[in-house]
Amino acid sequence: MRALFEDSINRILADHVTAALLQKAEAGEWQETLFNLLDDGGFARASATEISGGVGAPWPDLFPVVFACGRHALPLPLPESLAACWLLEHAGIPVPKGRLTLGRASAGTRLEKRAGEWRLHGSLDAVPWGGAADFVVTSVAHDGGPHLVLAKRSQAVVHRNQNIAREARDGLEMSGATVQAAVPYFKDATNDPVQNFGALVRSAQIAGAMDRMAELCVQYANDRVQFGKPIGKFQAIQQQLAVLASESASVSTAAEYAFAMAGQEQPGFAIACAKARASEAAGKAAAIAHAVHGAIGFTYEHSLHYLTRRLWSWRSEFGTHAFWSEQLGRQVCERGGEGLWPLIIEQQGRWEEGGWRG
Amino acid sequence: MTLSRFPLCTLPPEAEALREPVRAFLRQELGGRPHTKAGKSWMGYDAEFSRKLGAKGWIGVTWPKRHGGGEMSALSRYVIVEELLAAGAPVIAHWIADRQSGPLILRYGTEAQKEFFLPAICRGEMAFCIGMSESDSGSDLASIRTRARRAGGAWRINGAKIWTSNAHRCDYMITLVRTSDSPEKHQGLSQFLIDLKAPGITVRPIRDLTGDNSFNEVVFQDVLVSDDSLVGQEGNGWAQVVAELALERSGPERFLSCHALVKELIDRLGPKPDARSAIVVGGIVSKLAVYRQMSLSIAARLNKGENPATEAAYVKDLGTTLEQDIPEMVHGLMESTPSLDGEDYEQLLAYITQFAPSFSLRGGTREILRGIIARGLGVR
Ligand SMILES: Cc1cc2nc3c(=O)[nH]c(=O)nc-3n(C[C@H](O)[C@H](O)[C@H](O)COP(=O)(O)OP(=O)(O)OC[C@H]3O[C@@H](n4cnc5c(N)ncnc54)[C@H](O)[C@@H]3O)c2cc1C
Repeated sequence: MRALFEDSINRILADHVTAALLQKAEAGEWQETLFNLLDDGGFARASATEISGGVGAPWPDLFPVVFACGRHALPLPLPESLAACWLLEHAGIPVPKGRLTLGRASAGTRLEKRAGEWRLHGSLDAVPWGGAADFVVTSVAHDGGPHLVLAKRSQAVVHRNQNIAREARDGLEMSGATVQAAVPYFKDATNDPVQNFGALVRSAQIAGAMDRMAELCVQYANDRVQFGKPIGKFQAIQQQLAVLASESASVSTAAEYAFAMAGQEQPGFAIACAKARASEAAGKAAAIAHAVHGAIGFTYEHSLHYLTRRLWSWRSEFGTHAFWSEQLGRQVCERGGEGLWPLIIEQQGRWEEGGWRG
Repeated sequence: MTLSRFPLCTLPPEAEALREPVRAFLRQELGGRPHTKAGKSWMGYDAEFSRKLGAKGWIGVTWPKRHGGGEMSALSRYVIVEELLAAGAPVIAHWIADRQSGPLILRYGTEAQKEFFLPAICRGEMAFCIGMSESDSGSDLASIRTRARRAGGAWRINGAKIWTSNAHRCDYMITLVRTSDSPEKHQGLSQFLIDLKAPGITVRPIRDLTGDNSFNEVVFQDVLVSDDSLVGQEGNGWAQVVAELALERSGPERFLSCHALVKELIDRLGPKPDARSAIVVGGIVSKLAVYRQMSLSIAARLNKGENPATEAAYVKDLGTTLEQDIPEMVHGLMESTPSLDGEDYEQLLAYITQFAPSFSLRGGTREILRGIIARGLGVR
């Protein structure tokens, strides 16, 4: 399934995600045609089982799909939809028809059960294309643990907002609105599932964007001539490109490893490593890419910024480097120095049973 | 582009099965040692320890049984070596032979060489050193001038190697020499297996900045070696050295050299660190975990007979950068006074702070590795 996914998603995105489309999306236009094309192609809900219109693809097979979304700077919540479908099914909530996204609840948001109906008091911040979605999946602490919540967007007041990449990141205000479902989600009770799976997909998107950026840089370094030779012949440029390539390779490995672990009981450690690594590398990589491109890369006309502005946005979405490192650091310190190595080994164990078929 | 460069690797059950026995052995042998000792990591020398490890069958585990090996996979070896390093075991007495000299002999050596060297290495009784660098040839390794000339049925060697780690305690050196002149400097190089007790060899210790004698100068004056000492083909030295470097650059020793200090840092912070300290520790851990995946991926490719030399450069550059950052992070995080006669932790910090600059030198410098990566990218 993996190779098939990889080929077809890259083909579709290469054909459709043009500078013209990105500019329309940045102007606030929802890319309905492309979304429907991807949805009809089975990508938007590939993670869901067949009853819900998906193909039950395990996370390792979805890695190239989410990676491609990053590579091509896709301005649509496809990764969010994959995560939302997967979470819903794992919580036992039927996946509804319609466009799905994922959003984090702001502090103080709470659930209330009244007359057999669940109500949400509070707001979801910076929901990816929250205003264009039909449903949003979130998680809210209730009764001693996270609950996965499916809410209808039409129940919310939408406050438009955008991230640095001008991707829609809307606030959804829900003061006492009824929600479709709320179910305890204790699979990895130490973590917020929405934060976890949001971070998972962002790490692969960052990996994809960095990978493409490294390619653009190499190409530019071979084409651009100064002092009578391509700038890639200068050692100072070569050394910077090498750093960019190793950062990029390490983020890809980190993200792929997290996808391999995502279907396991406790994917928290792998996801934390992946998002910490991706968020840390993103800024460094973007800086190198701009340095190598000179002034042309600083123009709106050149396409580099579609990637760098995403990196600057995605690194903080669903947890920054500081957030995830702190989580990891606390987990490690809790066990003491002698516990560090066994923890790393235990967390990088075998994962065949969970669906990894590398 | 990078999507398949480091394909994920998971350790097979037979490799994992070695982990507990190795840990139990290490607990028994090394329990209660001071941290400073663990801090030396793979620079620690203990011939007795290496012999015990050999007796367990844990040296040369991938080699054929008829040569003393265990016919296990490179991934089984990976488990053994990473456990040794994580525990800070003193491994240098067998490390080089197990990692690169033995594999080189196995790949290019004659049957007689294999019979003579490999079983002794597996028993932990024969230590090797790497004779590549010379005083005028560091990064530009192919410019070496140590020379072997035919002398009847033998070879006469003149010249000098430098920075040879551990030569003063080793039995043999695999020495890269020039055997013929060629306008192309990568041609005309050959490798010899040289008994360091042979007449004409002087091993002169060089004190490193920590005060230890970790490396040496090895001078060859009319040293006569027989034809049987040539490894592989005459003139094929460069290709052989390059294959050796892939083994040398991708292992867990490229990100675990400071492991003792990381463990100590965690213990000093205690179970409830402040946010800033937790962030630093978590940052280190995320890199360790990811670099281990990359390194494992290379081990799996080596196991399949591939030569991922460029990928090895990625791991060494990323890993040694982390290793060098670690003592700096410790200094940035808490009040600590490295000292030579203070408590154990202060000595450990003093040792690692001083030794850290070498991490990105030994085995090829950062600039050279990045050059290799750049060539792989197609800009050189
Ligand atoms: C602790 C330790 C143990 C060692 N053990 C061994 C051993 O057992 N056996 C052995 O053979 N060697 C050993 N070495 C030597 C090691 O391989 C060399 O130090 C290394 O290859 C660099 O050579 P050099 O020191 O001569 O530095 P140089 O090559 O002189 O380099 C000095 C600086 O110039 C830079 N430089 C050089 N050429 C270029 C270039 N083309 N482009 C950009 N920058 C460049 C280098 O990156 C470096 O920053 C050891 C070194 C150390 C520190």
